[in-house]
Amino acid sequence: MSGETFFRVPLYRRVFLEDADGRAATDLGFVDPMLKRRLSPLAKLTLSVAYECSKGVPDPRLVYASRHGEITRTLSMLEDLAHGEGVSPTVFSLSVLNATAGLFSLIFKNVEPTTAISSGRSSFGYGLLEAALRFAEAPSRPLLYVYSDEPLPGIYGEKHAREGASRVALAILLWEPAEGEVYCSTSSLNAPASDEAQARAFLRCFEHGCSDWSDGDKTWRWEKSEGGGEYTTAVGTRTDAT
Amino acid sequence: MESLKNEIKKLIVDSLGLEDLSPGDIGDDVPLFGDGGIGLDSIDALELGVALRKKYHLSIDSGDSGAREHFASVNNLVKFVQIRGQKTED
Repeated sequence: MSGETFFRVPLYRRVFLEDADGRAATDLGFVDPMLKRRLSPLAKLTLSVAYECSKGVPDPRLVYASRHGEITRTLSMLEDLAHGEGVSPTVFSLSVLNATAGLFSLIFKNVEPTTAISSGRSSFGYGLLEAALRFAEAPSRPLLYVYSDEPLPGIYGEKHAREGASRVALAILLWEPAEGEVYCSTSSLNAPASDEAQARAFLRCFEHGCSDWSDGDKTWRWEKSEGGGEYTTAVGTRTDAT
Repeated sequence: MESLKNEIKKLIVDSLGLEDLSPGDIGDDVPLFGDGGIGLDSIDALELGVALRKKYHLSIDSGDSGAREHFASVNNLVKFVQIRGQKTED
């Protein structure tokens, strides 16, 4: 058996930020200074795209995805424990995958439901699928999808170097009237595993109209089209006997 | 005494990531917690406890009813460290 999943993402707005040297200029004027001091570089970048992307729209539902989340904080706690030292309460309280999603809720006083997704190399893609599914539940209301990741600390080895050397954050607001849409599909084509990070492959579809990415087992494809037209709920699966 | 005071102020700024403050901005008797002072919160109290423990080998009992008093201001922390602390080599 091989399966195929397909879904449409209405693009109301999208914001991408990349931070190659840890010094991305992010305007966090919307965050209280006493909270801002506790934010990691990844959280700062993530909240920046979330803010820019959801400006001026009613409180969106939120889906947050990340492969490694606040891995740098987790590692610093593990190192403290290995040295027999106490764990920083600040680091501990902000180390879980959904910490930044929680901060988003606190900062914007947004009490809409939030989902946090992590799914290996395909974390971006499955997060987007979750976003499309949840948007389809109530397409009259906006849904904010935010993905972010940073390179793994060196102690984890070179194996993950191909995932990119910079910190990235991408936010997509799913809402109508959309400026365009992306048709996403997965198939069980046997393509060699891609070297780039999945979110980067997705972004290529805006330059070339279409892009592909494979984890060696499943191939993801994104096709961009202009204009929205009527939003139709289109999330589905097909199963082909092989 | 004066140097311990400055050391503790620096410890507060560094361990709590107070980006907009320098050690000299913290008055000796200004309330560290709550409104009308530096405005630190409960996570800061825990964080400061960890930092003090690390630097001065203090043992702070979580059930210590005097903890609130010891942490109220820089002057109180100085007294607390002088009585209970033991400076580490670094």
